Amino acid sequence: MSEKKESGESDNGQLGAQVTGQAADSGYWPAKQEMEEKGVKLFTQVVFYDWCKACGICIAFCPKNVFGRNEAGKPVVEQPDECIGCRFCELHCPDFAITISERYSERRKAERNF
Amino acid sequence: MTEKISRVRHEYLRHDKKFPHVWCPGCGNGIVLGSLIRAIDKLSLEKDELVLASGIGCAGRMPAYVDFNTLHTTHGRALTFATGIKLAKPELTVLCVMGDGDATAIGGNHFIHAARRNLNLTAIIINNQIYGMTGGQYSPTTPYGANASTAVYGHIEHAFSIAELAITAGAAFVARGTVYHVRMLDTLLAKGIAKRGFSVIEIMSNCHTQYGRRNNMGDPVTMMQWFKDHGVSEQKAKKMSDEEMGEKFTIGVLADKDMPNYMEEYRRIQEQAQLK
Repeated sequence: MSEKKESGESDNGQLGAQVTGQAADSGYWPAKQEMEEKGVKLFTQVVFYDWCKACGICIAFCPKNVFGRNEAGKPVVEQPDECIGCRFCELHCPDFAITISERYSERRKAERNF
Repeated sequence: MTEKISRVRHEYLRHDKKFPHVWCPGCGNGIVLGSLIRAIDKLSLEKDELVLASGIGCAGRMPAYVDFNTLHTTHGRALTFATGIKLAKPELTVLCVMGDGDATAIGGNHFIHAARRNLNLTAIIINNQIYGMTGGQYSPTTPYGANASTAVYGHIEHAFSIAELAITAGAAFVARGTVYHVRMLDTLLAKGIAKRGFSVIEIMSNCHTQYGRRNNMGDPVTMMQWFKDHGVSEQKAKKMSDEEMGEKFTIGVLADKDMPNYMEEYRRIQEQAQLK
């Protein structure tokens, strides 16, 4: 797993990280618009700790190493912008403890265009 | 806003039951449950039109967590109870969840005869290659040479293939999936439930607690990786020689035939009898 981390991210991942970096400097909306033009999708990862049993499937199989591990062995979201939304973790979580959702919903996008 | 996958499964779960569920951390049963719920949602079946029956074992706990009509029956007899339900109320969709020992050892006869009769049922067999709940005794599907609590020097019997048994017994739809290939499992389950005839879906699942720890695969991640490496699609398997296959197994739809099911035949007989 650590090999992947060192060998560098794909184009998509880098773009996501870059855009969020700019977001801090140039305000919220322009960064988002720029991101949408480039076709980058960002995702939110929510872990429901009450149901998580720390099996480690999500941490081991995440293609982008989004999750780290805390002392209890449960996943911690470390690199939320790297997530490509494959939903492997959400589909394979035996305890239904992970939810992946797109960070900016369709409603919010429509609101902005209006 | 909760995304669709999560919304769907929480719609079908019984939240008044004790969650998190009783299965071990990383157990494949939870993955199968999620997959089953997605398949049912895909077919847009009503909760009241569904029956989920189960036998005894870890898999037998599954009906407790879903909000359908559910039945937790005696060991190996999930299919017999399901047969009764189907004959009494043919309009219901009846599913059975069984473990490998439950379906093929204790309920072996019921299984082959339900397949032969071609009742419109769906048998979901979770194959973890061992008796997990009772302490890791070998089951009919434990591979040759594997270790179990009752086979400490390696298993000397040969495993049989549930899918091939079902094909031979005459099931209309037979498929095999794994808990790693979960998107494929969704479609296999949906196809099996939609099939008008006896459908068997064998799901290779991980029991790292009882099977894995005795066979150098002590955690769910290693076992999932094993399924990833050993599950071969049918097209690929055709090109591979027996030596290359080795421990590997084919996944996907293995048999799909159209023939009148038991209820259709039974109705035909009823009509004939009424004419005389």
